[in-house]
Amino acid sequence: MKKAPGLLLAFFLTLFLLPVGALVFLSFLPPQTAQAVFEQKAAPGMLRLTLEQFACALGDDAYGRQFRNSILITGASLAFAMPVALGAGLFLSRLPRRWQRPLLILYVLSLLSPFQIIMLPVYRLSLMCGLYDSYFSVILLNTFSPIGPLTVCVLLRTVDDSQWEAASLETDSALQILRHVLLPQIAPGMGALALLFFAQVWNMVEQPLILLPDERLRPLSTAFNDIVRGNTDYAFSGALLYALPVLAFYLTAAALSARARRSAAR
Amino acid sequence: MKGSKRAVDLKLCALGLPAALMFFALYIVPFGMTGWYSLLNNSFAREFAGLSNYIRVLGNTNFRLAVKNTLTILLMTVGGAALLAGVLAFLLLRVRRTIPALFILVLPLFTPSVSITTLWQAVFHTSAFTSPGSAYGALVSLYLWKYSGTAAVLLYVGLRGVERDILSAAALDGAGALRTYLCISLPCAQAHAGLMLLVLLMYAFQLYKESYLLFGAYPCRNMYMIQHYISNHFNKLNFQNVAASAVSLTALSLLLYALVYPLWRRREGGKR
Repeated sequence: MKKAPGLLLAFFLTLFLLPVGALVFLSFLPPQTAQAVFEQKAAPGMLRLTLEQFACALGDDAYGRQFRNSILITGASLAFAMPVALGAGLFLSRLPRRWQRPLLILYVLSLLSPFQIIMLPVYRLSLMCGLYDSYFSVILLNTFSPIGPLTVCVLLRTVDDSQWEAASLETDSALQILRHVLLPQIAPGMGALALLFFAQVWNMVEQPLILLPDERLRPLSTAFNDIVRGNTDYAFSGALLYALPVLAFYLTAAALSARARRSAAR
Repeated sequence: MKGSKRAVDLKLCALGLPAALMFFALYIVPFGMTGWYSLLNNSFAREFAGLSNYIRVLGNTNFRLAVKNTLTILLMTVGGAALLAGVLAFLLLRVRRTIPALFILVLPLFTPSVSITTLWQAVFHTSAFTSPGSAYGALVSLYLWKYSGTAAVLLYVGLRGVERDILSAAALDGAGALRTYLCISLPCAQAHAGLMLLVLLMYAFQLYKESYLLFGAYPCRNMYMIQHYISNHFNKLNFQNVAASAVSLTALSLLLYALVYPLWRRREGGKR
């Protein structure tokens, strides 16, 4: 009876891992077999492992192009968003309380709101600025996403006030305080933010649908369904390849965090 | 003494001011613009129309269907995920090695929706013509898989903070594990439960993405949400309908957040 919670938890964890495991397994089946599995037409003899699906995915120009779009948009957004998050987070955390509270509420509300609420004005602003149907419209929107400043503000609130005061006695250079006092303390949190942000942009669907009418410019997260609708030969391997970068990022972060915990425990 | 704290604060604020201003230009100004557009009868001619756009949108049968479906889907997804997260957090409290379990529970959050919907499409044979039962099954199970693990971790963090003395006293009084969990641990972790519900609501409002990937832009009647209504009218260039329905969606989301917020806020109040 004592083992029941552990067994039940193990059951649930298996359920959580099952879809990812199934995706990996289906990716290594021959293209027709992978589809036949769901139509219950796959004979046991057909279940051989092969890299055919991956070869199909990597050989498809459309898939490669949209994948490159995803890398470009996510990479640029991440590169711009992290410094912006740091700056805006600093701004939020050092404001006097009477200004800070309403601003924080605005940031939280915009984080909680679905994109459809601002879709129309964003579309018209991008037209006005000449950014419509260019990568920059999506990158700009992501760069100033509210999740970054909010996270940095929460992280900076954990830095003790006495450290701010001690640092300001030593130097009046804001950049030096940022580099030598604040950043080392919030670095793990910034890593988690980078991971969250990467996953968010890599997973984006609505913004490119509105801001990038040219389908050749869209990231794979938006275009994948259309691509595999015409060619189901690599539906599963294509999906798995797209998940790999963000899963690799997540697993690396998890391994680093586990290592840090172990060394802290020693 | 090199500088005062106030001077350094001012410099740090100045460093981040441009980023904050851009946030305003891209997120807050559009928020206001949506409200303004909803009061015009033509956003190019800019003729004031009062509440006529709202009257038209609220009288539209498709919009009413979308509101009903959105609320049904929100209830099923958020309710189901909160329940599952409660069970998972209870189990997590009763096992020793939790770190690998926590990593597995958060893993779905980082799996791109487009990757995992490929599998869901194959299992549930989703399309615009999917039967209502299958459609609900596909969307709700996808939401539960993707977000309930993260919700469980949030709740678990709160439950770990409950003082051990209180739990020991309950055990001494003869309360069982489940009763202690339901009557003591959960009420003590109310703030984290509130935060969990806020996060689940946020993801539920963003469920359009998964719905679009599963069923396309025009799903079956039962899956037609306010976000579909807004997107479809946007594609028809029916901007006044888009603005009025976007404001209605804002009102609905604020109302639901306001219902959950006091739960989360209780701890903040207690701290002061």
